[in-house]
Amino acid sequence: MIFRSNLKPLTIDARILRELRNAKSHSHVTNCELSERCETQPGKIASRIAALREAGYEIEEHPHFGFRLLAAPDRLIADDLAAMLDGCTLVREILVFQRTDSTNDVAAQLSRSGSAEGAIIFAEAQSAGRGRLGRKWDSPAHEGLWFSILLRPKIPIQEWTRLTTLAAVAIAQGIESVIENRAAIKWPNDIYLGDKKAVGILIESHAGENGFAVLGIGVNVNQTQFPGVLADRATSLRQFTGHVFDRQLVAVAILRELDALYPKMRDRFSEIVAAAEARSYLRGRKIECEFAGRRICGVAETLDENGALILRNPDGSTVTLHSGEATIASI
Amino acid sequence: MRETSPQQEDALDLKEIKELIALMKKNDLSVFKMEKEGFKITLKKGGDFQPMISTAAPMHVAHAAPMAAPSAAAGAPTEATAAAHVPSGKEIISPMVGTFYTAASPESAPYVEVGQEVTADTVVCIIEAMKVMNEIKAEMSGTITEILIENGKPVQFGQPLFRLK
Repeated sequence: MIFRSNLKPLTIDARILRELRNAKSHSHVTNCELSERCETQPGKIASRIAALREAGYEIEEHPHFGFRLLAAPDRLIADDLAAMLDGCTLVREILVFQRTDSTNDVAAQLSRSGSAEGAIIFAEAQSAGRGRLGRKWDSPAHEGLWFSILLRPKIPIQEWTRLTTLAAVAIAQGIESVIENRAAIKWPNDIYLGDKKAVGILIESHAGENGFAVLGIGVNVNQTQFPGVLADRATSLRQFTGHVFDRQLVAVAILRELDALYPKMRDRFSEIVAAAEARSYLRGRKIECEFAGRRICGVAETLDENGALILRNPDGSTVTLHSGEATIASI
Repeated sequence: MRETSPQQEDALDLKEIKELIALMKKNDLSVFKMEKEGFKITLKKGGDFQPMISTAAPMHVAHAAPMAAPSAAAGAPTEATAAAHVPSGKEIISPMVGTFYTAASPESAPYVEVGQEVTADTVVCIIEAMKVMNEIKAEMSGTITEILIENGKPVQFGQPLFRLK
């Protein structure tokens, strides 16, 4: 229930959670209704409810009205995530680790052993969470979301760079729906709330036969503080809004956006680029970019059709950045 | 009937080279190589080799170098030398535009070194673009004889990365 679940078909526990969540705060669901909608024996419901309670779910039982979900534990539960993602076409399987080195590494191992697209790997904590080029990513237990998605994009390898813009837009839109506020995209792959980074994305891909891409996402959700220099640069959804968030709901919001956008990557990518542009953190700002030992300065303008950043030089000409580290120029 | 030797017959005249350059421009190709017995040509786009930065001005093929004259390739000096002679062995070619990395992180050991034997599945480098870190496999077996690109430098689509024997 906790560690592994599938979407097609949903497990019994996932179906029970789906029904309880659909009815939540409105009404109870009777044993009879549950067994019918979950397509299982009425006698089996009671034992599964007991198991869910053991996992931390508060479920009320009324002699006449039946069951009602009062509270879910502050934990990632594979069956619950699967239940809330029911109907997604991309998401196929959920794995939850209590602790792992890096969810991207687990996803890569799964890919190599032939796992299909759409496996999602969560970890409550990562002991070696990392960003690009091995930079350390702080992933404390139960405070954020650290997860990876296994993808096998059916587009030419040169276009896999589109994954970056796709991921940034999906995450920004997912977070916006949860915090009811704007999120910005700092080109190409950071999500900013205010002037601080709340989300990091690490995409690792492998070209060739049976090629795959692993989309790793780290979301700062409920942290109240960050160690050392991070304090000035990082924020969490909680720090930005003052509210505590249900991490599962944040994950589901992001994955549902990703599910909806993924099919657009091939033929309707311009819509994704437009959504990224509308959230551009750098647009109109003077930026500096280190690239291959060269420093480029200019004002950030729009994105090109592939999501690359267009910079206007002081002399009026433009350059298009496909790579490099863009920072806001100190004036 | 033209009185020409077989070599001259195979060679290209200036007009044909110009046509090739136009074709490269049209299809946004940056490197073109052709080899026949007794004849060899390498065309490269742009004097200042900065493949990751495309200017808004129309792309021009000003410094195309017929007969493989080494171009002033600032970004990739090894590539310039590579173009100047016939490759003696096999080459691993870049499948994409991006930045070339020899190791997973600055602290890690490089994926491969000169003299190392590789198989088709050996990861030889990472090419990054738009923060997508793409692990490149050798896709062939052999022994690495030369690493043609410096760590952190840009590479073009189709550019040779490693030489193998």
